[in-house]
Amino acid sequence: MNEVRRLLPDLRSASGPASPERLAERGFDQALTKAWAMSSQAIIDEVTASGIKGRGGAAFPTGLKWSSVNKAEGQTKYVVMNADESELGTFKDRVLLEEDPLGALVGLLIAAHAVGARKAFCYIRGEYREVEQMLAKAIDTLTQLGWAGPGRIDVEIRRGAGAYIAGEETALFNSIEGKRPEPRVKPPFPTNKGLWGSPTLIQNVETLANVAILFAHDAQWFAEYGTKATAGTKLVALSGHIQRPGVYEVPFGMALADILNAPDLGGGVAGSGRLRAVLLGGAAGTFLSPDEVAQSQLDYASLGAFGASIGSGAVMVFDDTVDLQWVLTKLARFFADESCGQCVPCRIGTQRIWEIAEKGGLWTRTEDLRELGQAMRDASICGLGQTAPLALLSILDRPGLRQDV
Amino acid sequence: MDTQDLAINTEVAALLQGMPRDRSQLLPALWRVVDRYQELTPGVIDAVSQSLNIPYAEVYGVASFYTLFDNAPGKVPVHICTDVMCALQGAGSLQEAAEDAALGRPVAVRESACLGQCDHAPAAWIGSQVMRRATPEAVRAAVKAVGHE
Amino acid sequence: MGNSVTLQIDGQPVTVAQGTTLRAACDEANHAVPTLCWHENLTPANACRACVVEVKGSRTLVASCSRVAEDGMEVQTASERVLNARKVVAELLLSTSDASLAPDLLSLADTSGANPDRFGGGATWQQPVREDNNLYIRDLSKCILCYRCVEACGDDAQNTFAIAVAGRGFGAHIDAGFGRDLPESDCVYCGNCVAVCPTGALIGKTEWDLRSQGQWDESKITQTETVCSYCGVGCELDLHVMDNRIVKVTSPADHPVTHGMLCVKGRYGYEFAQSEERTD
Repeated sequence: MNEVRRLLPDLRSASGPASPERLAERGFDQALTKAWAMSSQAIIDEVTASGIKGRGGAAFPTGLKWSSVNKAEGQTKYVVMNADESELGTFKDRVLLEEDPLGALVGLLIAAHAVGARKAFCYIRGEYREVEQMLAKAIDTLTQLGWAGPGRIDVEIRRGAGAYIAGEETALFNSIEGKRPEPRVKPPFPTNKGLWGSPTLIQNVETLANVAILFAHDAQWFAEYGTKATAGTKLVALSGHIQRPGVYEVPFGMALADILNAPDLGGGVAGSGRLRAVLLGGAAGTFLSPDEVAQSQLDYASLGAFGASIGSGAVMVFDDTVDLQWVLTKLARFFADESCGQCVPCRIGTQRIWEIAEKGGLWTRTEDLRELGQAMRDASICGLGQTAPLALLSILDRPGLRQDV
Repeated sequence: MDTQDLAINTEVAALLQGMPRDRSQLLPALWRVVDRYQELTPGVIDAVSQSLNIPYAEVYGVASFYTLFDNAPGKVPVHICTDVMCALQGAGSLQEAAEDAALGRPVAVRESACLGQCDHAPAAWIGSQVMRRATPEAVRAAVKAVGHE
Repeated sequence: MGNSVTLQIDGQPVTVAQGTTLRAACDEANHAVPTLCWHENLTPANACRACVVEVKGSRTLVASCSRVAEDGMEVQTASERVLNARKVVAELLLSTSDASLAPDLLSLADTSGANPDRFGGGATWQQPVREDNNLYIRDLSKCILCYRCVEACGDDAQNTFAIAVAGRGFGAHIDAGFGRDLPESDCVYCGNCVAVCPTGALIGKTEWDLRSQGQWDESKITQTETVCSYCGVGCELDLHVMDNRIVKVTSPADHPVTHGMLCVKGRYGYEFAQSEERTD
């Protein structure tokens, strides 16, 4: 057995995902009781000791973030669950919220309690309507049990309306505030000035679910899986030419090849059965060659050696019939469509990359693309523009992945 | 203001009743009016602007950012994901089937970016409901059912 | 020295007051950085990214218009990454917008060694001129989306909010809502958007007409300083006169009352001064 089920609930569970029975079965009621009896500092120390890092892609140490918000000056503080999952090939938060919405919510409540927030938002993409209903049910359950609600911690769902950029934390704040979801310049960081200028703790769904299972157990239990550098498990979303597409929970440090091929995980490459490349981390991820896949483990240091990152946990698999120019053109269109338009490098840069791709210039205009890509990485306001050229640059760095070479 | 605008103003004010007149309510307010009118016309935007006391140009600036608010007049949007993973699994034929079935119906077929259903590709999003492992037949039937449910 | 910070700009130590932006600090060090969207009386929009500098320890380049100087910062205004970013910003804008009346952009293109054609041949912002009122016209083919007009119309000066940025991505644009004409919008014709526009996308009707007729000649324009006589606020006016005719009215950006902003009467109410029917 390679698959772990800690963030994801036991498959044999018969309780409703949003039910009070599930809350008890998962130990989340005890987690809340335990956290409520602890001081802010003790909670933050426990999160820090666990070594949890942000699971949205940036891998920022969670304990450090909580500590910053806790220390930030301000009467009013907010916590936000970022469920605006909209990146190509990324669907782990959807599955997590479908199967176990209480986990992330319990993490959110513990976060609010730790930093002294009375108001929490769950920002969910507009296309996840069924998930939103599940989340609302789970909030009802927690409200009825007295953990959430006005007077305790008020949890409000905000529905996005079709904008990938709204998942960028400061754009998300603007969206909640009723402004255009354009990212803000940083610093100041959300930990000091987030929603309405108040200190705000914003975390990805999976990060919060990790907090819930941590408090349902302890840091020692938490570290039973994973590596020395990164404790715990990670949700990976397998899609494309793979026998068993889906979301799997695996320990950090697992060989990428095992994730693709183990019978209880990916089950092997589908399509032609011969792997051309894996796009790891999302639309803004890195293409890895079959050789690199064979040498990689799911950990930040191992992947960093190939210039790659786990990102959101997206693992997109392409067999050797796929023209990667076609994939890059699709990715380029995605970023051009989703750029907010605020800054020049991203607004016009994403458009020009798409045009060059449409005209078949990806392999011939490499110098122009490299300089453009570098300017976008260096000078765009936010992560969208900064990472939009990464997948393309990763192929320019791996000429072996180009079919014409 | 003509009588039609006046009617929309009254209707929108009723729809948004109970909402705080606060900038932070703009996105939820836009969802309410989109659920009611489908299309955000100048009259609807003006009514929201007056109900929430937010300048017209700013309401439009926000509304025009979001793709799910960009609906054609009198047409129900049918979103077909044509992004990489769904395209690998035959999204092209779904799009053709949807467009074919939409002829003469109050339906607008739209290409969608990734719907986050790559494990069930290809996917469509019709009437706020996800269709997983969509087939041309299923999409055709769903498009034909629009307005009849 | 609790009220000042010392940083290095291109290896040279510079001491500035706390709260000074990197852009201002670079100015003080005589290592000025180019800017397009920045305006002395408006909130930095951070949009053009022409003013980026390299700060040691920062993963990305930093917009100097809004980043505040800190003690010990090491700033480079002309590193390889900075020069590449500036050049590409200029090239991208030139591939999209008509820069013929945009001196700052033309200067950036020139100093950065931009190749105006490198990213050309694709979509542009070419569009018909909007001539829907008697006071100013909108030639949005020249727009670079610097946000200045929106800020001047909004809470940085006029508080009218007649225009906003709408749409997104390459389709983002300045709009009064559904592309409507200004007379149908909340516009009060203060012309402050025109005053801050750096590209001629917003331009006085008189200037536009004279330019269209080939009669606009900067060398023939003289400026006369006066105080607006419409009300008691005391706004200073610069009357731009060509061939004995007032062709434009501005106010100095550093004037303590106006900060360069005027109302419709001060900016456009000059026709009476040269009316044939005037009795003196």
